[in-house]
Amino acid sequence: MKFLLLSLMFAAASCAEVGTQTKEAFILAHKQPLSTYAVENMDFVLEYGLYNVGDKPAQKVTIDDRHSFPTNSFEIVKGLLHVHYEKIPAGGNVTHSVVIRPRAFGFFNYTAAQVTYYTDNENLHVTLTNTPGEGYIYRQREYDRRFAPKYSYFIVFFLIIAPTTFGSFLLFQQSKSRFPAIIKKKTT
Amino acid sequence: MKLTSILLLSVLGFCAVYAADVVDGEVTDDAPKASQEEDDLTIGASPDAELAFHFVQPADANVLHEFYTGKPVKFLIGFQNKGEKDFTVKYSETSFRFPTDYNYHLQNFTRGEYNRRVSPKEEVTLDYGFYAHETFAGRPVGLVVNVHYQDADGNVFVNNVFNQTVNILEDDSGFSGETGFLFIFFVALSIGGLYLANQFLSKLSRKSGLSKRRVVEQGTSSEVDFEWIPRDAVKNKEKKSPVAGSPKARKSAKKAE
Repeated sequence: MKFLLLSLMFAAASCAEVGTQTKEAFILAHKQPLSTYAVENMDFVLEYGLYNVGDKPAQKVTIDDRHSFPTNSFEIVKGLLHVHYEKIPAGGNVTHSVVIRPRAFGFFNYTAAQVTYYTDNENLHVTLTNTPGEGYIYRQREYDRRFAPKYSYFIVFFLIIAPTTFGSFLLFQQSKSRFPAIIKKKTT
Repeated sequence: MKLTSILLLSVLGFCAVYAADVVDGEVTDDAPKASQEEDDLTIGASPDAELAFHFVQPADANVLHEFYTGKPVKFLIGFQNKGEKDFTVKYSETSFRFPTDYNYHLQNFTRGEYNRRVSPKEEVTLDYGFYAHETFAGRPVGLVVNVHYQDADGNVFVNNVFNQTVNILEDDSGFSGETGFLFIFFVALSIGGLYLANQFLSKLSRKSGLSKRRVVEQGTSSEVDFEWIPRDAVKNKEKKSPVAGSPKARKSAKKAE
């Protein structure tokens, strides 16, 4: 009788599980630039997102993006381009940001970063992030033309209009200061 | 004893029936079976590829299925090659469908062209983003995302990664020009109303009460009105009255002074 009960419970449990099969860990890797403009010698922020859409945790997850930002073209200001996470649970996500600084201007192709992880501690998966594509790194001069404060423009403008406005004001002041003297001369 | 053995057998049989109904770990279950039956007519999913879908922006879209108009919606598509041959992910197509009839397209979004080659045992993540136009505000729409890919032999496959009804909500966070200008208009109207009321009231008060003060003409006084003549000019005139006579006489008088 006891054996029957146990077998019934086992049957019930197995039937319940079969309807929803647990998927393996599956990491979706997202790479996106957070800065709107890439300008030479100015900080540029990148964000990496790892999303585990599987039903099991993923172990030993690493992001490696050092190949897409070589140190002769980019300087790393803050953050690491090679990171390691011990475990990402099922349904969990991780975001990682890096601040880099381009050294030169021109067209640049943003390639995918490589993400490796293990499922069940033994199966190695190699996945690539999405590629943001080709972008342009602007010259400092082009960026300043649009966004920098334009104090020098104002100063130059005031210098140019100084002769007509300031000069004529000075002349008026001169003649006005002479008027009481003329009046005095007339009345004496 | 007999009863327990019969029960045991029935339990085992029950388990076996359920075990045979295992569904493949893919997002859709209908497509592969259909492709096996009508291979020439329908395009389905490949059993060697596993796809996953995940919304990145807005952050709660995976649970809520609600989007705001005018704000970008970004999602990721994961492609896992479980087979032995290369796959090429060609493009993804996103579309809005009528919520009760998914065959009626409300809007087709631009294809996301990837043309990404995925080697065996490799995975790749692809992204796409779109905006919901404000004309869809307040309506439920069916969002359908299909991924088209082909294998090394040239067989074409389609896999549907998202196929649900979503709610499009209006974005109330920004400053709307309509309410702003309406507010300014009402302020202007009220100011105009106040001004008219003021005029009306002052007119009324004038008619009923005070009488106009009669100004009696009294001729000009001998006194000079210093209000509008500067003092030095008056002094000048006071001292000397002009010499009557010809200009020559005046000149000589001036020389003498």
